[in-house]
Amino acid sequence: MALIAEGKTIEDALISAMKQLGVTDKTEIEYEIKQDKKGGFLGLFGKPAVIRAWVKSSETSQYNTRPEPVTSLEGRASREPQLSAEETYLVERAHHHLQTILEHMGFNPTITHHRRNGVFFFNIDVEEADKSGILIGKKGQTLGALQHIINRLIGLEEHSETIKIVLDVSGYRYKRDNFLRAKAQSLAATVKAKGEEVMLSPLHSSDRRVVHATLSEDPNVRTYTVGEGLYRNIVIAPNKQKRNGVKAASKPPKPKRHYEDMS
Amino acid sequence: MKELIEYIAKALVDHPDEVEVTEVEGEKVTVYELRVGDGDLGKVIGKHGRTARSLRTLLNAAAAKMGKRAVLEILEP
Repeated sequence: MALIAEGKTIEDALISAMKQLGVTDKTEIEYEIKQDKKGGFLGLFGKPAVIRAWVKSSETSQYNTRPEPVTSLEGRASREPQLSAEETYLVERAHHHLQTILEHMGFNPTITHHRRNGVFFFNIDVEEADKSGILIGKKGQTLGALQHIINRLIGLEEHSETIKIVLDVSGYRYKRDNFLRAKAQSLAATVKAKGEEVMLSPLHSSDRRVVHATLSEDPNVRTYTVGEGLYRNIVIAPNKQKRNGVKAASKPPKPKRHYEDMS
Repeated sequence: MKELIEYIAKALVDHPDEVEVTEVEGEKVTVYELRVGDGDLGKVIGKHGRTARSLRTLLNAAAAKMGKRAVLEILEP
């Protein structure tokens, strides 16, 4: 049984639908957006938001909101608060855009998502597993492009700042992050042992974040970047301890630096 | 491929009705010309051209999957 509900915003329409359906929890109903609220001035004179809503039955659950135990980016998902109607709406828009774009690209995707710390992780599995490389691209370039587009498409809809969508293909990013973490730690060990800096090959900003974050807890090394734009390298350096506040009289000689390919 | 560009462009801009994609098929490369309405050019180009670059990357991937080559031209309105 479905009904049509109207409201100033999607949220208002949902609340109205819930009242009419006699449910108290947003998760008990499903809905599709017939019309997003349009134009108007200060919320006046615009067209209302219209949704079609119905009580959820277990078979009709369209989206898998459970975390994927194997491919989930961050491992076990912690307890997350229920999605607000707004978030549900945004996730559904993202899901829809992603599905449509991938279909236009000639893929037949299976998309799952879960949320962790306010970030939505979407994992894409494609039917032709051998073609997933095309979707990832060189150094994850294509995946990054798709992620940018999806975030932009969601950003154009209202209340965008609170949502961030991270895409993954068959756990690629998950594996890459694990690789980067392990590599960063082993390089840090070398840096500590030899006392010499290591410079990494240029990495994407999301990859750099993983390296920085991994080593931020290690007091014996520090990380910094050199270069700009596409040629930005991380340097892992030994963290010299200050000796009783006495500064060295002269600058130490420029440390030796090794180069490490991260591809 | 045309639909891919059209779909993304229409979702990005303020005036989806004014989005126009024309396909110019060459011997080896297919050129897709994208036109958007007045004031929407910035929307498809994005900050530092990032959105335009992303569009091209996706188009290249879609073309590669079909064993083709494709180029996206964004035209001034």
